[in-house]
Amino acid sequence: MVPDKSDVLYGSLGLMVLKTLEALGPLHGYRIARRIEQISGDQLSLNQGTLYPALLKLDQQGLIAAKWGESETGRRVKIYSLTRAGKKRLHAEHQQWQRATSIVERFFTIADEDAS
Amino acid sequence: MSRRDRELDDEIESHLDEAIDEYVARGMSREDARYRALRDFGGVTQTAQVYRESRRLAWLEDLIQDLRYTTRRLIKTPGFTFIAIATLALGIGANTAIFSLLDAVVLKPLAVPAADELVMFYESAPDRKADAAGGTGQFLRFSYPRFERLEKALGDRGSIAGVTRGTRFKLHLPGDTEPRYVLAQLVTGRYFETLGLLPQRGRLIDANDARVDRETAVAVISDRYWKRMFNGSDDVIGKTLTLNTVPVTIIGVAPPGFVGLWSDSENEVWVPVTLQLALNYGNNTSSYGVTYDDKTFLSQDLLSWLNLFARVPRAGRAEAVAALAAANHAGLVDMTNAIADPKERDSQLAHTLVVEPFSRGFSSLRNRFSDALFALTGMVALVLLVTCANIANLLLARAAGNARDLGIRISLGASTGRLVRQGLTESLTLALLGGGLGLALGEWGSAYLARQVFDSSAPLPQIFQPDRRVIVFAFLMSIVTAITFGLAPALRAVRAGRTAGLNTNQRQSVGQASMKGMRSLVVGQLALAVAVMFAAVLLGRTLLNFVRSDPGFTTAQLVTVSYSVSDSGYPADQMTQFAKRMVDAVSSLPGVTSAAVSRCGLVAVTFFQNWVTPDYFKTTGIPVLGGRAFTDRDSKTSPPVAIINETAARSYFNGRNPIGLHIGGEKDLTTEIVGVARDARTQTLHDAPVPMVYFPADQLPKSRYTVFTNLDARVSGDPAAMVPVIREAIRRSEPNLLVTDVNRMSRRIERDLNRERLVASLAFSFGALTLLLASLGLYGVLSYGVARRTQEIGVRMALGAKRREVMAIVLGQSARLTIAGIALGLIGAAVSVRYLSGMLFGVEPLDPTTFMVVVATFAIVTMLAAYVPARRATTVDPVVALRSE
Repeated sequence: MVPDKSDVLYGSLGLMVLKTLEALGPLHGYRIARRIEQISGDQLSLNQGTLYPALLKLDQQGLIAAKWGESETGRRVKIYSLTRAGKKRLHAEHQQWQRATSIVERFFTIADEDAS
Repeated sequence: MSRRDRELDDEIESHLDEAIDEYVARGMSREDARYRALRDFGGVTQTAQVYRESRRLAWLEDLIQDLRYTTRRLIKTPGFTFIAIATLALGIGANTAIFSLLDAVVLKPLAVPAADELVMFYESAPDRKADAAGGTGQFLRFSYPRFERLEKALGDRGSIAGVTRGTRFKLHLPGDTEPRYVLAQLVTGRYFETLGLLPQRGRLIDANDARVDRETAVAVISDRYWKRMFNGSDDVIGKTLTLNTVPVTIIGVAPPGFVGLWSDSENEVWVPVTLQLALNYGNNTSSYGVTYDDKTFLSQDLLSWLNLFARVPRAGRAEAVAALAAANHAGLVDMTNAIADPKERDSQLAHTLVVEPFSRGFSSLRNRFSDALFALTGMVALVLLVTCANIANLLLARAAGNARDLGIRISLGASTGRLVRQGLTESLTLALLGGGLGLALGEWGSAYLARQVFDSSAPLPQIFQPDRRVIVFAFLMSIVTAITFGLAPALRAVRAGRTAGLNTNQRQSVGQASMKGMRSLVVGQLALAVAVMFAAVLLGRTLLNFVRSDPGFTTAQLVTVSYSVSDSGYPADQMTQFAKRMVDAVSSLPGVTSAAVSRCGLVAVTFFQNWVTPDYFKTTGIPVLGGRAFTDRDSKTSPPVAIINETAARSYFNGRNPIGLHIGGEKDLTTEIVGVARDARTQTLHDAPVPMVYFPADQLPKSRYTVFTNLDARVSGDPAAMVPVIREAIRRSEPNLLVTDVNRMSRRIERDLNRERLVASLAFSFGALTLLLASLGLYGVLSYGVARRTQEIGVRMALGAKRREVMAIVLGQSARLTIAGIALGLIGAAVSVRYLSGMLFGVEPLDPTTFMVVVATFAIVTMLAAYVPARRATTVDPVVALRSE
């Protein structure tokens, strides 16, 4: 199961969803959307609708689980939570991300030293 | 709109409501808030559509991904792929071939609607044991009055019908020079109605065609006959067939696929029972000493000639059966009033009516082959299990190599279910490819085997044509196979991957786990192979014992001729002259030493009495041990004489010398015993000799039902060359005689043993195949073990171990696996071999020689399989081995 280009994680929206659920615990769709918007400030203009196909895909991959529940305002909403596989995947992606950034970081540092 | 679509709508609605609430709380008007919320969301219907599509596509995407992955992997390892598909094709092919044979001979129902509603009837003797006349204790034929009684008793609870055995009738078509024969059956009025059949052309025989007060000369022909004789033309209706000089009008064509109730002897023409007298039909009857040469059978209560069957819906069956049994008993009481002999009367009255399911019709092939085919089905299933174990082994070996790859994917969050599914996709792909090839192999094989089972020059019956059932079987077999060989390795691979993912240095332990699995698979394979081989050796020895057994007559240089005088229209009072003409025509041929005509042929005797011409004993080589053989002086006018065989002498005369004593009916002990002949297996090689009484041919009672059927000729040259010569001589002497078979006696014996030959040769092929696969499995495990232990072996050699010692390590491991396999296999064989005991001859199921032969074979073959990896172990270079650490 090699992830292809359409995989959400490459669009990083999925990763953000996983991180959000890890940080805040189970949430419903609107809360997830708002959280992602708040964290990224104005830098990320999210079409909230695109969140739902992403949630579905994560659900199908077994990274998150969904069940019906009640929102703080008493509405019937679907509440998403992180599964064990999701947690693992998040950490793996996080490490890979850090490794990638650290390599690039070091590359810039060494390049600076050479320049001096 | 699906539930999940509605759920999505609900979810989006609450999302928007939540957003609106938040905007309103920030002080917007409801109108504006709604507008903003919708804008943030960005197209509600669009989202729903994307959502729906991705949901639908998900499984398809997964499947395509799995298939692509599978293809890539299979192409990358062509050796593995080839071996897996080839062994699967063999395994599934062998199973398909045996199944289509089993299906054709044993399982296939009659080609009629709702065949499971059909039942058949027979009368059973109280102990169901063979009676004095050598019957089976089951009396399948009924009289017409009895049929009428049962029909009345059944009433509207069902429909009952009667039918005669197929009989060849001489058929005359304009322009024929040689006689032509057609297989026909006489049926009662509701025969076709009971079977639920509709005509393909015209109409079928109905109750009106079979009214006892008149003879309606009509006929229905079979689909095959219609196509062969009339090219399937529509104007066949209304045409006339002349059967035994009786013209009958064709009124219809039976539906395609329907060949009557005897699936292995396909009927061609059906006529009403009311034509019995006109057609002079009199085969396959039993009458209690009474003959009815000139009267219609329809009114004779003592004459049984109809097989009865009925359609009774399951709902009212018990009730209907009770009514029929009562009516049958009443019929028996009435009938026995006419029997004088009180012993015979009591034995008849003790009969009870038995009703049995009849969805598959009659089949003599089924009676002969069903045990053998079930035994073969069991063996061939073991072959497939061994095949599965082989492929599972290959998959395990590969999984050990793939552990790291899988480990990475698991740590990236791939779910277990998904990975197992991927493994199974690969197994299914392999199994379906192998299964497709196997189906082709199996259909080819079953056509060949059908010919072995149906050992005759006649066209193969339609039951042997492979149909959809065989395809479905091969398909299901492939799927079951894939799960059998694929599931465990897939699960183990995932488990191994998980271990490898935690610590990539744990490859050793992963390999060990795989190794353990592979070893138990090999032991299992060896055990199954031992069991199959054990059965094969027993069956092979059975065949040899049969071939070597002494039938009691000399088979070499003997040619045997079967014919049917009753179907050829010879009058019963001309039998003596007929026999003389036949013997003269054949014995005068150059190359023929002697010839004899008899009532029954050898390996075909169905009675315990035989009427034979004087040279019979000389010709067949059955020696007359005491007294004398028959001569020309034993004629119609001389005192009646008989020769009995040893068994008869023993069982009837208690060791007294029977020569000079008299036998006969209850009152008239007029027949003098003039000789005792040696015992011979005259019925079939399978049965021990039975008591036989021989009478001179000239003293044959004058009756249509006791006529000659056989001629034996002893020849001096090559018997095969004499076959056409004898055939031609008979044709010249008796141009009207229906000769059914002219053959070497050795060929007839071969035919009598065709079941043993088929079973033994197939069992041996299966045994050899399982042995080969198990040895390959052993070879694989040992090679893998050597490869994994290269370093260890290197260290040992560096420390001074000799080549011999290194070889001993590998050979020792092989010996442990082999001994475990053989031990398990012998236990399995000992437990399961009793299912074969009915098929064995001259060998005990737990025969010690067979044990030894099997153990020796396996010891040698596994030694060979182990030798190559053992040699490879000794070529390990310590330096290279240690460096690879």
